[in-house]
Amino acid sequence: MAVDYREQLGRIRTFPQLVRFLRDELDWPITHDDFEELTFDYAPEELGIDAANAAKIQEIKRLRPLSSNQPWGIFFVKFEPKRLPVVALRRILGQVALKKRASANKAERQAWAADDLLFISNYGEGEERRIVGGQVHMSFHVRRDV
Amino acid sequence: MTADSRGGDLFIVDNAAEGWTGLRYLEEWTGIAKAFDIATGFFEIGSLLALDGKWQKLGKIRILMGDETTQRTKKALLEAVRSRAEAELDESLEETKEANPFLQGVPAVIDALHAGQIECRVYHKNKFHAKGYITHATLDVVGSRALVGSSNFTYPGLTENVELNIQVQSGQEVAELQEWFERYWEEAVDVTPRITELISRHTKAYTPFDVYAKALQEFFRGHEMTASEWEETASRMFPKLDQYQKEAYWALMKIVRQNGGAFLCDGVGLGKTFVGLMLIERLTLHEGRRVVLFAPKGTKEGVWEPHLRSHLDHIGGVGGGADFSNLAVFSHTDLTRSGDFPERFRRITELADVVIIDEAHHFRNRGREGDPESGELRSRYYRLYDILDDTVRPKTLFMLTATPINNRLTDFRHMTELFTRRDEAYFARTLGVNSLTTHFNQLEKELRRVTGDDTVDAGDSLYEVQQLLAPDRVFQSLVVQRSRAYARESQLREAGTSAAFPERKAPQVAAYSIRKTYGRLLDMLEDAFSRDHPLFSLAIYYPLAYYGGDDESIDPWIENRQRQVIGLIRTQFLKRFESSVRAFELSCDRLLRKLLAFLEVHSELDQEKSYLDRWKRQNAEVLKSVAERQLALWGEEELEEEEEEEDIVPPELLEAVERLNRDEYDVDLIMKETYLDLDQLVKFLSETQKFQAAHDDKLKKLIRLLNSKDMAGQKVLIFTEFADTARYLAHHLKEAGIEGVAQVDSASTANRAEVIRRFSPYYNGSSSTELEARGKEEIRVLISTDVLSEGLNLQDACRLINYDIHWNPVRLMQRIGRVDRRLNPEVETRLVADHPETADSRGKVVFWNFLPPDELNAILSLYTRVTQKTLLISKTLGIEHKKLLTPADDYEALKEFNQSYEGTKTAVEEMHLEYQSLLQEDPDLSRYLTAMPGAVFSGRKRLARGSRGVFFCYALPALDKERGEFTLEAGTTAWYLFDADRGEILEDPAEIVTSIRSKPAAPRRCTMEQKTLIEIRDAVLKHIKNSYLKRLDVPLDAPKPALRCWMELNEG
Repeated sequence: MAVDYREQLGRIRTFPQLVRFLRDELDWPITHDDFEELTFDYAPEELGIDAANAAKIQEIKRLRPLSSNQPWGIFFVKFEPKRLPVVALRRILGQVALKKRASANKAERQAWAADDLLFISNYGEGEERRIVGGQVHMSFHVRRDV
Repeated sequence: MTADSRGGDLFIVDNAAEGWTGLRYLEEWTGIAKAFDIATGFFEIGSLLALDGKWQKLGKIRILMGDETTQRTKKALLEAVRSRAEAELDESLEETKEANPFLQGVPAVIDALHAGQIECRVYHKNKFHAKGYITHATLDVVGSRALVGSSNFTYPGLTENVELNIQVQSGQEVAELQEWFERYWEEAVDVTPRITELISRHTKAYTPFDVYAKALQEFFRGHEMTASEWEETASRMFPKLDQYQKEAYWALMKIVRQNGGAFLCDGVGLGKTFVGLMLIERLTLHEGRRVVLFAPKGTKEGVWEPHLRSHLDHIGGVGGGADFSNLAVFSHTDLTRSGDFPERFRRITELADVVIIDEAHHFRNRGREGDPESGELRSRYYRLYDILDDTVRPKTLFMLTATPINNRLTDFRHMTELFTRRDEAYFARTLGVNSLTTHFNQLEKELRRVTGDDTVDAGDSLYEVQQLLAPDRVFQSLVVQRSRAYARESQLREAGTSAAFPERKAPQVAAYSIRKTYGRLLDMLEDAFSRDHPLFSLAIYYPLAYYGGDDESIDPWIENRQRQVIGLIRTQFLKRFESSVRAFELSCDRLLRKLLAFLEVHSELDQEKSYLDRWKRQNAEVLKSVAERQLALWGEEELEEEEEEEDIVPPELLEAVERLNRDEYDVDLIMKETYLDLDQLVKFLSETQKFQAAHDDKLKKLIRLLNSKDMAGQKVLIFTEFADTARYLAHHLKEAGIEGVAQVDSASTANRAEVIRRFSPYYNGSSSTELEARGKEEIRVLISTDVLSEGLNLQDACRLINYDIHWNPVRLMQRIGRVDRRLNPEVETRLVADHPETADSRGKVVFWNFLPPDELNAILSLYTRVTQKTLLISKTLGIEHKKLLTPADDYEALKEFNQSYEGTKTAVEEMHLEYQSLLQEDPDLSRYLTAMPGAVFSGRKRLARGSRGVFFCYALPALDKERGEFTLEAGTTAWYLFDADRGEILEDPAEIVTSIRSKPAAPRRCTMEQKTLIEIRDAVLKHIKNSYLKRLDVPLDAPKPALRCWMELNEG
C-alpha cells in the first residue's frame, strides 16, 4: 500500500529538509549531508533571466545527478516574494528544456526533456514560507504540491 | 557499555550508540596505561589522530598486523600483507587531508615511530586474522587487560562499525594472551621503517620545484606513458619513432579509448605516416584487432603500400610475408565504386574494429545523403559513415590530416561526427559540450567577429583559427597537433640534433610582368571588374535575384548560397587569369558553354530561338578555335571523379540549372543579362586568340629559371593550382628543350605512383639505377596541381616552384611540405652516393614564388573587389604592399611566414618541452614524482611577474564510456590559480605557468595562515563544482576532484 507522506511533506520548509526527506524516507541514494555539496549553483544571468526577474530570485540550485546518465533533473528555486513568480520559473524552464533543433540548444549547458524536469520552489515569508514542486510547462502550472 | 552496565562480568565493546566505542575504551586506557599491544589487520592514521594528545602518554605502542590473504609463499604473503597495510594507511592519510590538509597530529606519529615509541610488525608466516588490544596499566595494582574481538585499529573499526569485542579481565588469561602476542610478535617482521617512510612522504616539506614538476607531470599524464614490454621488444615500428612521434602514438591511443575517435594533425612532413604505421602494428598484432585503412589513391599506392611492405611486412595485408592479416587497405575513392566494393564494405562494417583515415580532410564535407528512389548517389562521406555504424559493430576511428580546417570550422565537426554518430550530446559527460552543432556555430560566430568578415574562409584566416581552436575543449581533447617548431625542438632535446628536418632557405621571388604577357587583356579585365556592376552578372546562378513570385518562405540561406556561387566564379576567373592565359581562356569557354546551355533551355519563343542561333553563328569562329585548343591540351579525357573538381564552380555549390518558371522569375531579364555576359566572354576569348606563348613573360621566366645554375642537375617540383596551366607548361617546357619533364593532374591517365617513383625514386623505395634497369626515364621536372600536394614523399627534390600566387596558405604549406619533410639518413646516404653532385644541396630546401611585382597591387585590389574581403594571405605570406618574399625586401614578412609555417610553439608546447628537459636532466624525477602522495604542498615567494595567491593542480573525473562510470583516469588535469590581488580564480595554464615556474633551488617559504589556505582551497573546490563538475553533470557517486599538489605564492 502506498505510504502517505503528505503530513511529513507539509512540515518541510527548506530545501535541505526536503533532501533529508528524500534520503531518509524515500531511500534516495544520497550519501552527503552537505546541501551545498549536493547541488550545482546557477546564476540568474547564466540562465538568461532578466534583471527584473533576477531580483526576485534568491538562489537557483540543481540536485546533482545521483548516477551517470540520469535523465531527469530537479531544480530548487528560492524566491523572495510572497507569490510564486511564474514568469521567472517559465524563463528558467525555457533555458533548460531541450529544444528540438540541435543548434538551438546551448553547448555549455545541459538540457532536459520538459517531462524530465522537476522544479521545487521555495517562497513566502516567515511561517508562510512553503515549498511547492511540479513539472513546469510553458503554460505554467504547478501540477501538484510536493 | 552494554552487558557490563547491567552488572554482568561480560564487558562488550561494540561501538553501539548507547554503549562503549573502541575509541572511548582506548582513550580511557591512555589515561592509565603505559603501553598498548595491538593485533590488527591493518591500521589507519585516523585511529591515532583520534587519540591525538592521549596516545603520546604511552611509553610504547606495538602494532602487529596480518591478513588472511592467501599466498603461496611466505615472501609473497609478507609482501601482500605489507602492501595491504601500507595501502590502507596511505589511503587513510589521503582521506584525512580533506578535512585536515596539513595533517595536524601526524608529525607526532612520525616522531614516535622514529623514537621507537610506536613499533609496527607484519606477521607473514600464515594467515593472520586476529584483532586484540592488550592494555598495560601504569599501576601494577590495575594490571593489564585485553579487548579481543573484531575491531581493526582503524577509525571506523573503533567508532562506526558494529563490532564485537569482549574484555578479558582475568590476570591469568591476559597473561596467556600476552604470551600469545609475544610469540607472534617475535615471528613477525619489523615494518616500522617502511611505515615511517610512508607516512613521512605525506608530511615532507616539499619544495616549490617538487610541486611545479608534479603539476607538469599531472598535466601531461597520458603523453608520458612508459613503453610497454611489447613496444620495447616486439614492435618493429616503435624504435623507429622519434620521441614526439611516440608521444603522438600514446596520446592517440588514450584519446581514442576515451572518445572513440582521435585526430593526428601534426604539420606537413612531420611523419604522420610513421605514427599511423605504429598504430596499425599495435592494433593488428598486439591487440588482434581488425583495421581498415583508407588513403587517397595516390598516397595509398605511393606511400602506404610501400611503407607497409618495407616496415610492416610481418603483419601482411599488403604483400609481405604474413599469410593472414588483420589489415585491409582501400582508396578513398573505393568508397563510391561499384562492382564488389559495396559487398566488401558491408563485410567490413560487420567485421572491422578500427578505421584509420589518411588525409581525413577529404571527409570534411558531408555531400549528399543519396536517395535510392531518385537514383541520387550517396556521397563518399556517407558511405564511410555507414561503415562506421557502431550499431553493427563498435569501431574506433583515427584520422590523420595536417589540415583539419580547410574552409570552415564545421569541417572539423563533420569529421568528428563520423564517430559521434551525430549524437549532439556525445561529449556532454566527458567535455561538458552538450550540443556539438551549437558549439561549432559559436566558434564560427567568434571567428566572424574576430576577423570582422561575415563570409570568412577559415583557410584564409589560419592565425585566427589557431587562436580559437587552441583553447577549445573539443579540439584539445580529440587532436594531437604539434608545430614543426615543437617537433624540431623535441628532437634537439632528445638527440642533440634535428638533422631529420632540412633547412628551409629564404623564399625567392621569380618576378614577371603580367602586362608583358597579356597586354590589353589586363586592362580589359580591370575594366570589367571596376564597373559598378562588375564582371558577369551570372544571372543564371542567382535566379532568386530575379524572383517575382509570391512565395515569402524563400530560405535566406539558399539565396546567400546563390550569391556566393557568383563570387566564387568571379574569384576563380581572377585566379586563372593570374595563373596562365590558357587557364583563363578555358574558363571563359566553359562558362560560355554553360550560359549557352541555359539559353537553349529557356529560349521558347521563335524570336528567342532565332536570336540565339544568330548569336552562335556570329561567334562560331571564336568558339571553334577555343575548342581546338582545349582538345590540344586535354585530348578526349574526362575528369575523373577521383580528386577535387577543378571546374570553375565547386560541385557542392553547383545546382543543376533548372528550367525557370516565367510566372515566378523574370526570365527575359535573366536572358538579357546572360547575353551581355556572353558578349564579355567573347571579347576575352577574341583577345586570348591573339596570344602567343612566345610573349608569355611568366613562361619565359620559368624556362630561364629551370636553365639557371641554381637548378642545374636538381629535381624541381612545380606547383600550379590549375590543370590547364600544368598541361600548358608541360607542353612548352618540353618544346623549350627542358629534359625529364612530366606533368600530373587529376585527369592524368599515367600511373601516379609510377610517376612519383620516377621523380623521387630514393624516397619511394627505388633508385636511379633501378629505374634505368627497368627502362624507366627518371623525371627531373615534375609539374603538378595540388593532387600531389599532400601525403607524398617527394624529398628527392629540394627545389620547389609555386607558379601561381598562393591564394590559400593551407595549400601552400602542404606544397612546401612535400619536399620540406623529415629526411631519412639511410636514404640520404644512398642518394648522395649515387648523385654526388647533389651533396651540397641536400638538406636545404629552396622555393620560388612567381609574383608580378608591378601588377601585384592591381591583382590584390581586384581580388578584394571580387571577394569583398581583404586577402589575408599577408599574414602568412607577407606579400601585401609589395612586400615580396625576399630577405632583402622585407625581413619581417619573411620571419612572419617562417613562424607561421613552423608554427609558433604554444605555451603548452613550451611547458611540455620544459618537462621533457627536466626528465632528461634527472632520470629519477619521473619515479620520484609518481611516488609522491596526493595534495603535496609547498610555498614560495611569488615570481617577479607572477601572481600572489594559491596554485592548485586537480585531477578531475569524466565519464569513462567503456566502463559507463566516472573515473579520474578518464578525466583531465586542471590547474587553478587563486589570484589574491584580483580575487579571481584563473584557469589558463599558459597564464598560470608564469606564476609557478620554479627551479630546483627555489627555496620553500610558507607564510600564509593555514586557515586562509584552507578557505581558499574550499573556494576553489566550490568553483570546480559549479564550473567543471556542473558542465559535465558529474554525479554524486563519482570520484571527487583529487588535489594532486598546491602551492602558496606569497610576498616572501
